[in-house]
Amino acid sequence: MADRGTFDEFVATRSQVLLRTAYLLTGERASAEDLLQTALAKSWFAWGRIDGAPEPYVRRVLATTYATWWRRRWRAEYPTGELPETPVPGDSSVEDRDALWRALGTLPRRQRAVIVLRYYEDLSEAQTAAALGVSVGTVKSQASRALAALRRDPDLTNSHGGGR
Amino acid sequence: MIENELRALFADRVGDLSTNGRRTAEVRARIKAARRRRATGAALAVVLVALAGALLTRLPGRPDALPTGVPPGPWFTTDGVPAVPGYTAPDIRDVTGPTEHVLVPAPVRLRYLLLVRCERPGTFVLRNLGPAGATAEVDCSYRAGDRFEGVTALDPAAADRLFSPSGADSLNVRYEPGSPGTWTVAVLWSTATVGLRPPDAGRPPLLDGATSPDGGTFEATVPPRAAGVGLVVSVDCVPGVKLELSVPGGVLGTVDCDPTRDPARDVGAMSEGRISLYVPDSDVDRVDLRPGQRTRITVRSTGIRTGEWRIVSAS
Repeated sequence: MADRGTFDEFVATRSQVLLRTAYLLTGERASAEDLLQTALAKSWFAWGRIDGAPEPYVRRVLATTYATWWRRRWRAEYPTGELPETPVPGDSSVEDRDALWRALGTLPRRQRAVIVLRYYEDLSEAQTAAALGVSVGTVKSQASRALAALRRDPDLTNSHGGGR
Repeated sequence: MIENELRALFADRVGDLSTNGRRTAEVRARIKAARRRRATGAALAVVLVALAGALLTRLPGRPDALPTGVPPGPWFTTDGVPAVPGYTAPDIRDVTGPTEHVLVPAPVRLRYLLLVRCERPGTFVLRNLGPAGATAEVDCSYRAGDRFEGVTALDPAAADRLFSPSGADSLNVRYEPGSPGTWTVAVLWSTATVGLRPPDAGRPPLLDGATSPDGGTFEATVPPRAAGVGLVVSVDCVPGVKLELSVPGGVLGTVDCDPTRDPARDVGAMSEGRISLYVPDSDVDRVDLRPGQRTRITVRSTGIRTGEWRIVSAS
């Protein structure tokens, strides 16, 4: 079990890694920090009961908080027309990624969480299911729908001159 | 493969996320706030439970005015007979439209319930025919089987106004049913009085709790036997009083000032704040008492400690 005395150390050393996941989930820096701190604060109350390494637990809290906490302000997080980073004209790879990033923002939250956990965290379907508290079947179907939606996204289709 | 593009996108996007040097402090602040919310939430939960309880008392069948101890409806049996523990029903009438009647208040200060039973929901109005025209309303909307019921509690002052004489005419109240069909209207009297009933004029008590709340003694003559009863001791008391009566030969019995016994069914039950202990012949024999014998009766208070009781008679 994790010792509560190690919580501050965990925050100091591991939270930046978790911030990246939070950022990929929310798509926005401030919301990511909010989500991360919320997940950390939630985890603190269970810190003494966490069996094993705390990071998977915190990641799970992060993912489920994002996927289910519909009342929070990052629920309505959608990509805007103005991107934080302006693409360099003519750089097609940057444009493609921006289009993919925007398309990612249109996904339902649980689908986005599945995609982030599967392709950023490199979690298996079973691990993703455990992290989100859903069945493996749900992870499969959510991932399948998310990828299909991304493939059908008009921006991506246009940037590639057709479907993928 | 879009999966590979996603991996590349994610790696690219998280590459330059700045760190937050205040994160630990900010998380700590959130934890502190959450703990405060949890404590507040627990307190709020207690308040909500209390509010829920209060709300329940306002649901149909639990009118606000219902006195403490009166159970929720139904207040009538399926045969349409009032049945509320602690109350007796000296006046029950069936009406199908506005009618005028005589209602008199009890000779002592009681609480009253105005009960109605109706075929369709509606509001019943009891109106005094005097110049002041005091009224009481009962919402007959609590469903009980194929009928509806309603109740309103009246304190002694309200009853005095409602049941006051209207003048030369002996009829003093009008019943005004609020929907078609037969309405059963009952005025119930509490079996207990509001406080101790006043002493009988010209008849001093044999023993007064006001001066000896824990008990005492008095003398009585054993009466001639009648219908299997050897001695009757009458007591004015408030609910909760219990008095153990004994003679040198043993215990006669205990007067339990329980207002929930129905005086219509139990001759010894409390009525208008007075209760009687009927000591059968066999118990009188057991304690070696004979008719005509003068004896000392000892009273010991075993219920609530109060001076609100008095031994009225022993005959």
